Amino acid sequence: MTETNNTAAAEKALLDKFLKDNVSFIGPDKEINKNHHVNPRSLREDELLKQGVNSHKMAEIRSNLQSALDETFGIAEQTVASPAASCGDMSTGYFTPDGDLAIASTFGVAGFTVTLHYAIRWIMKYFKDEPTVGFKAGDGFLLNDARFGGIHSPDQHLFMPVFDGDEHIGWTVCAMHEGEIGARDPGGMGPSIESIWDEGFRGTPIKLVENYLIKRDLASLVQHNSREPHVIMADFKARLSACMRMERRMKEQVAQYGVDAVIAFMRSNVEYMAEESRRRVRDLPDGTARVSMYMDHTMREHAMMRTNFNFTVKGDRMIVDMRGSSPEIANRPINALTTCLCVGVSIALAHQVWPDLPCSQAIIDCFEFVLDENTVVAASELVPTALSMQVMFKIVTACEIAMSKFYYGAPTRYANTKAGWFNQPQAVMYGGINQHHDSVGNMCGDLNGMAGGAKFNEDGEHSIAPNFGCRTDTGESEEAEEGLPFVSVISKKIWPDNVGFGKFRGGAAYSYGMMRFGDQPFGFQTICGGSYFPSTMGLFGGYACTTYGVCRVRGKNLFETFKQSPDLWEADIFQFMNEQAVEEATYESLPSAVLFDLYAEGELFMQSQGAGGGYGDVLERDTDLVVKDLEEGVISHETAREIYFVVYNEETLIVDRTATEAARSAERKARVNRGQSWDEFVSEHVTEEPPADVPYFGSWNGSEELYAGPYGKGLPGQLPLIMMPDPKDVEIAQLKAQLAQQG
Amino acid sequence: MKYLATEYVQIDLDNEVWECRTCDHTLGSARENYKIFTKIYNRNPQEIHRPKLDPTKYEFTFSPNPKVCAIYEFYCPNCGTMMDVEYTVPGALPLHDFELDIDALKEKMQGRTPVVDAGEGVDTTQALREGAHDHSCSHDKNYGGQR
Ligand SMILES: [Zn+2]
Repeated sequence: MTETNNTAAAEKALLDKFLKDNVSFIGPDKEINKNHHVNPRSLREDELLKQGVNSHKMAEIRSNLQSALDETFGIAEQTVASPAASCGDMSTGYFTPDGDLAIASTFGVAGFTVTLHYAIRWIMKYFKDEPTVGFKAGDGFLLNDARFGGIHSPDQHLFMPVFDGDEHIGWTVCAMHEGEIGARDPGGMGPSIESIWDEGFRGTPIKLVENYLIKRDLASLVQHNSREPHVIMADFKARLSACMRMERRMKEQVAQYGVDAVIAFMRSNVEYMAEESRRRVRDLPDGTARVSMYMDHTMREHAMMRTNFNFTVKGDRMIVDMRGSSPEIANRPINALTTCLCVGVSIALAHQVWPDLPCSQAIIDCFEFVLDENTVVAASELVPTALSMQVMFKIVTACEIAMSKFYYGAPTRYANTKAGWFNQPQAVMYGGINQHHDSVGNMCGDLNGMAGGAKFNEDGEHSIAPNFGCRTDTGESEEAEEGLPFVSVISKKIWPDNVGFGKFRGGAAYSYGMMRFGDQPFGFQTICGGSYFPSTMGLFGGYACTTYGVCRVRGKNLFETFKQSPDLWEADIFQFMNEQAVEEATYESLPSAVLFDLYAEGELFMQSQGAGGGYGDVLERDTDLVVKDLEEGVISHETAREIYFVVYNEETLIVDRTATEAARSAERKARVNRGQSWDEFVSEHVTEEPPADVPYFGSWNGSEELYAGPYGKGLPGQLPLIMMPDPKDVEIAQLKAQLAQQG
Repeated sequence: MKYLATEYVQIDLDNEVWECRTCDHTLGSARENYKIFTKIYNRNPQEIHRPKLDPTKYEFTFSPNPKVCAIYEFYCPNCGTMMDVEYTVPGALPLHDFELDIDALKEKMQGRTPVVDAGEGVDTTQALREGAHDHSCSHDKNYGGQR
């Protein structure tokens, strides 16, 4: 090496050190966020595991820690103030020191903890040795911005390190959907969020807790940035006490089994989950299952945004190719970070496919994700992601469907084969002042009342649990009424034909309507798609759910009308809307993303939860089950006759089995006659370009170019920044043009 | 050997063809998309998901919009069983939704008994007992059917 080279190397080293010591802002870390895999073993872990582990001792520690997590979950769920978390939208977990989820609570939504390895890795990389931060026993970090780990900003998490003497042996985490964090819309997520600066408090990991005490200066900072300062403090305390209890229980394990055994357990459990998932993937048939679905709304305007999920089994690897998905939209909240898609796959696997396996990021260690940057599945840090679950819920459904296909003929399966669960956050969000004079802004726990998909051997369950967590609760109407100024005029009412039809039908889902009560400023908003194009899908010939919208009756105090016509208490959405019995009121039916607005007393806001997808050919549905659906009001007579082809007496519901068989046989023949061959079908129906009048986003018929609605098309990475015009400006321009035409 | 690919189609691995599971009709080469051998119908989604609100009063009726949504129905050309439905944008090519690697499948199924009924494969605890990890005795007790 020459002297010149030596000097250059020394100068470069000096420069590198200078730059490293003088970073002005430590922000999200792309390298950390790109790695969903399990960390390599630490030296300590490697030494312990090389000595071999006593599997009985490991099982005892696991059982004890599992019960500690479930116990703390139970206590926290009862003490939190956030409406979502009190319905189980939370999780507790133990992590290894380097940030691998070793074990999570069986209750609730494990997805919250499953995505926090990113955050712990970030803290370990940037704060562990940072002289002004660091951490010791009794410290706790708060986080809510998903760019450091997590799903979206309304979620808040607390991490506390666990020490044995001086040795850092792990982390306890209590993670939940908090809700209100001072975003442009109440509740931390909403349709009008148009930039990352509208997302509210952007909490990086901050040391909120020192020596087991909440620091009041930092607490006030976060509280002051929320419409619900009291809820924020209550939940800080609930999370802190959960983490402290978990710490105590972990230390009990250390006292009983020794610190080596606890460290060895944590690591061996991570490795067990990764190995077991790899073994299960290896056991699947090699091949590709492709699922394409559409998000039909940006939350401000209609757009057909393709989401493409191709699952390929290759030996013991699972490759999830998401290319072809819609480009990101820079001023709408429906983009998702890839970290969010990874957690979607873990959730689907742990809740729907391998329910016997614990939910952990380790179970996707053998998964690889292929994507194009700056798409809705791989959003940049500069676009809003407050409603990232719009994208995440799609991959949950895609994973359910793809795995059902891989498993159908596989020699071993771990759960039922079934159609798509419902997958929209169909809850009313609210904001304003309540009857107790508190400032509020959050969502109703109705979000969890999604219906289950039909199974290969039985019907799906009605409004049972969200697609992202099988062990949660659904909000009670009475409890909502106690704290919020509205009355549930329609409370959880099943309506006919809100099921995915099939040999086995998807679960039905309830509708609900809230009528404003009182004169304080208070209003509603909603955050769903699926009003133009069904959101979840059926399986093997089963139909999807239908589409849903928001209906509202305004401009009149309906309490007056109800007083005169008490039988209106029995009415459902469709009776209100079709009969329009209240004169002088305005009736509107809208797509399911409705901007926040204040509502006057007696105005009515109505929505419905969605159905699960159907399974199999409708003509194979047992006629007794069709009659049962009729009796229970789950389907209409039209559906029984014209979709299931059942011939029966509408009064007695007695089925004519011979005539039904003949009708079904005739329909099978009619299908063969009306169906076209592939070539005929393609030449008559398939087009080179998406329909001209459809705002289409994503690849079309396998094109490499991505379409981008009004922005034309281009190869991934070569599209311009997509900023949608304000729909109100568009409407004003149209009205002006109309005026100009009229002279 | 017959491999059950879905509720309605199976693969005859010896002859490498797709077959209808309802009527045993041979559809075509197992190395191609089985949908190519079906009869396809372009269904207006409003015939299945009928409007619940009066379409003369409202644009949004709790029924899919045919301008952006079509249902492709795939029938067995022999017996008329509905093998699959696909919700898509009008004009889109039917999706090649399930493609099995026939060579790898033949290898994987060698010496194994194929599933002949959809309900057969479910036995979690058994799988975990047979699981290829050396401390399985404790894991199957705790994870088998735990949740
Ligand atoms: Zn057939």
